[in-house]
Amino acid sequence: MEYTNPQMPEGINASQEHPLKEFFWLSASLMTGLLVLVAVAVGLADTMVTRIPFHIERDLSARYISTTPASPELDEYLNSLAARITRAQGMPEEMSVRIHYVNGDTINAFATLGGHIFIFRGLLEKLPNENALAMLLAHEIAHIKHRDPIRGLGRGVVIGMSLSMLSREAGSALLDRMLSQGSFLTLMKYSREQERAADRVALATVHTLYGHARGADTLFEVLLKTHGPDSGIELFRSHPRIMERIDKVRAAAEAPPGTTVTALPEGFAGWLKAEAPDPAEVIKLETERSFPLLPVALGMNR
Amino acid sequence: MIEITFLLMLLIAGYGFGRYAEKSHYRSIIEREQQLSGIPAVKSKIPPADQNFQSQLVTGNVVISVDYFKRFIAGLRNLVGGSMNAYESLLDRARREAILRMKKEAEMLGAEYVFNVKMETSIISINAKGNVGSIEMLAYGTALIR
Repeated sequence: MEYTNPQMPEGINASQEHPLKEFFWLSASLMTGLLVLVAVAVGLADTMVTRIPFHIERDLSARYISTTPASPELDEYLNSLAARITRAQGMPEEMSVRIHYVNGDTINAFATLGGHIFIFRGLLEKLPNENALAMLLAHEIAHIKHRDPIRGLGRGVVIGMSLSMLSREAGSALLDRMLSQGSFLTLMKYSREQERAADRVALATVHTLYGHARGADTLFEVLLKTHGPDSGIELFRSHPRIMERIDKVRAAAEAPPGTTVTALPEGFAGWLKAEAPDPAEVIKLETERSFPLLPVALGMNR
Repeated sequence: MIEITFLLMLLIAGYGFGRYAEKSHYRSIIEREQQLSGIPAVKSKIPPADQNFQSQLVTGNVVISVDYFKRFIAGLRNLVGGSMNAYESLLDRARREAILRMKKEAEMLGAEYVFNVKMETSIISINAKGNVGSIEMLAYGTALIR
């Protein structure tokens, strides 16, 4: 009998496939799977957080919100305008809105947990009429009505927890940011859909209050001017969707000739100036916002 | 972020060294298999009856370590199932290397054949997480020397 050990072709017992190919396929499919899971978890969180009673949200935020005292007239004016808007929007009974004036130069305003809305002097100074101010408040109040702040928090917590599965450090950094004191006052990033919904409700509200929406677009003109192409920030050019949003508001703001905008109350500018800046308070709010120059709260950072 | 960077560095190092080691090992295996093809190693227990052979035990033993990249891929593979290509090439190399070492021993004894070849394998190091560290492959048989 003849015995031989012939040379066998390669690739029978060990795959000749490039290991990186396998690596990429495996990681890509696992990442996709993880993303789907996270998306489902975010969706679940989103539906569940809206079931948290508003008073719990308010109690939660009460510990963190410190008010900058505004002049009594300004405080009354802003909050009574807010009250008219909440009525017009049919805000549920148990929910409440509180406007806080911040004596800071930042051109911004944002809504946060517990129905608190912060408006910076910088933005108020730029608004030419009550309609623009009403549009601003209506937009922020719509966010509160839609429970957007707490939904943003829920989303952040879920994403933070998922991230911490991958990397303890990155995850806990995000969780820290979401749950720490600062986040109650800071970056509540809303999705485009949330912003669109808030715009829609705000336009309808302004329409209910004044019978037309003229002047509502002025708010966006102001933001566009200070944060837009002229200000050197790339944001507006690279995000056509923002322009799309603005165009929508502009179209809605068209009113028949003869309709007039409502002026701001007499002495409004005076109320803003009467208050001496409280640097400590302003600094507290502004440093917690990591990029104060962007109009984050109005969702124009997208 | 540090964790992820560290992981990536380990993966790149594992891939680079592991791939280099595997390629050069395969080159050497194929070359030596041709050199030693004159000494057939077979599974048969019955030696050719027409000749009078002297017989002696020959062994070939090899331990090969898993690199980080292979272990990582195996970890991913564990989640989804399927054939473990990463470990297959490792075992293939170990098996062929063990046979080659056994044949080398047989060659030094002036053997003509190695009969009744058997293989044993074991995991010789395993970490706390249960990951395979390195594997041992042992080939042994009866060298037939005229």
